[in-house]
Amino acid sequence: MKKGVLKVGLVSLLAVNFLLLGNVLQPSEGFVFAAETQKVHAEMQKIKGKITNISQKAKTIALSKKNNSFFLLKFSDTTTLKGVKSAKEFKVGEAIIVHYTTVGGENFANSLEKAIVKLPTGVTEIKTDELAQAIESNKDLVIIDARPSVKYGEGHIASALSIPFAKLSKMKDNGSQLLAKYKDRQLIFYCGGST
Amino acid sequence: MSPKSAGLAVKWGHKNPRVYIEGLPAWKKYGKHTVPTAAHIANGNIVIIDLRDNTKVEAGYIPRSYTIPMVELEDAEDAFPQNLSAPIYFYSDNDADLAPARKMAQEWGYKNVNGFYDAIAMWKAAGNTLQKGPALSATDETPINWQKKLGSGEISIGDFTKSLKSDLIYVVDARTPEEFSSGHFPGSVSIPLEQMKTRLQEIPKDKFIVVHCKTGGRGEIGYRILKEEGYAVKFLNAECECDLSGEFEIW
Repeated sequence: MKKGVLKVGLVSLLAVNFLLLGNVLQPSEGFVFAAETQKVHAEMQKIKGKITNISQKAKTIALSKKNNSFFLLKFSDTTTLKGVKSAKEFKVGEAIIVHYTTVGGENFANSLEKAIVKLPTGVTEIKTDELAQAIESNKDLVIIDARPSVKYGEGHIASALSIPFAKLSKMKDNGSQLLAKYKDRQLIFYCGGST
Repeated sequence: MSPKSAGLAVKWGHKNPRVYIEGLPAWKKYGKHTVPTAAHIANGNIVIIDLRDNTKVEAGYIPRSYTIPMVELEDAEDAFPQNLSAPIYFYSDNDADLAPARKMAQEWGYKNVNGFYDAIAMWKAAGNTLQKGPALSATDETPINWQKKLGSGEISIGDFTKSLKSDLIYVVDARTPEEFSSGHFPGSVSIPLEQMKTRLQEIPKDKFIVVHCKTGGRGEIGYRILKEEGYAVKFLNAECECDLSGEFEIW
């Protein structure tokens, strides 16, 4: 019941706003106004996705979701940022968690958060200097580039092999054969940063 | 990607696989380089530049290379490709030249500049042979010709320029009203990206739409919005500048 009332409230807010502007050709200002108002009331939703496009000028982000669908989002100077100091730090390819509110068919970000990479159980991180030293001293390492093979072709760490994650996961348990010959060796996986 | 791969390795019985989470950006920042595959050097849509002196080049170079000796590099800016996103690979028999060469090209604005270390040995080790004789040369008058391969939804600069004269095309300028008013393509319509979704009714469904901005970033998002709405649409993935008289430059 409460939701219904809110919706009516929003529609009339927009209508009044359009009337005040007297020009339907400037709806974006209307929506920004409505979005600010709505932030207090409307139900916030959460989404996690990978940034496919980001425009700092238009303060707009396009995300791809797991099913490859396209999700468009606007942010503003009042959007709460977590894990970064400025929205400029968000780059294409990074995963982010967004709390947002939908107003008039548009999604407005309440908060943008850099998704922290969670390592599966039994896996540990290696930092740059440790990796550099390990490559120098331990010839028994198996370094695996998990990116698509095109990216590997453009440039990879000198001794690395190319086993794209997509290939490994598509093969289901047959994928184990790709790794089986390195069973007793130290595996190190990498990709293009926090993707 | 890599944490998930490591997770699979654990599942398949590998002990303590490790993940280099920071990945390649950190690796390069640390001063380490990366190596391309021989296949990419042989067939990739890239520009290969041999920094050695001419006598060495003529004795054998990696096919498709342009010859620009290191001592001439600083005067060769105008011989470089017009498109700043061209992937450039420098090589030499003196790998100490690669870092300064990269730095120079980056200062000229090239966004994808690589040093190809230990190039000739790697090329031979992959079973390839060197080409003898003069390599490709580039001058200010005939600069290196590199054509971008169009990605999904992109319109070429040539087709875009032609389409500006056509009535069938509807050009949407996704920049801000301020940017639009300081100069825009003849016949284009200003719909800033942030208003695109709410002004769809202004965009005709029976025309071919091209969205552009200053660099292609907002243009691509606009393209995706309109595509999802069922428009026949492309975007200009290039940098452009227009002045008040309607003159423009795209690169």
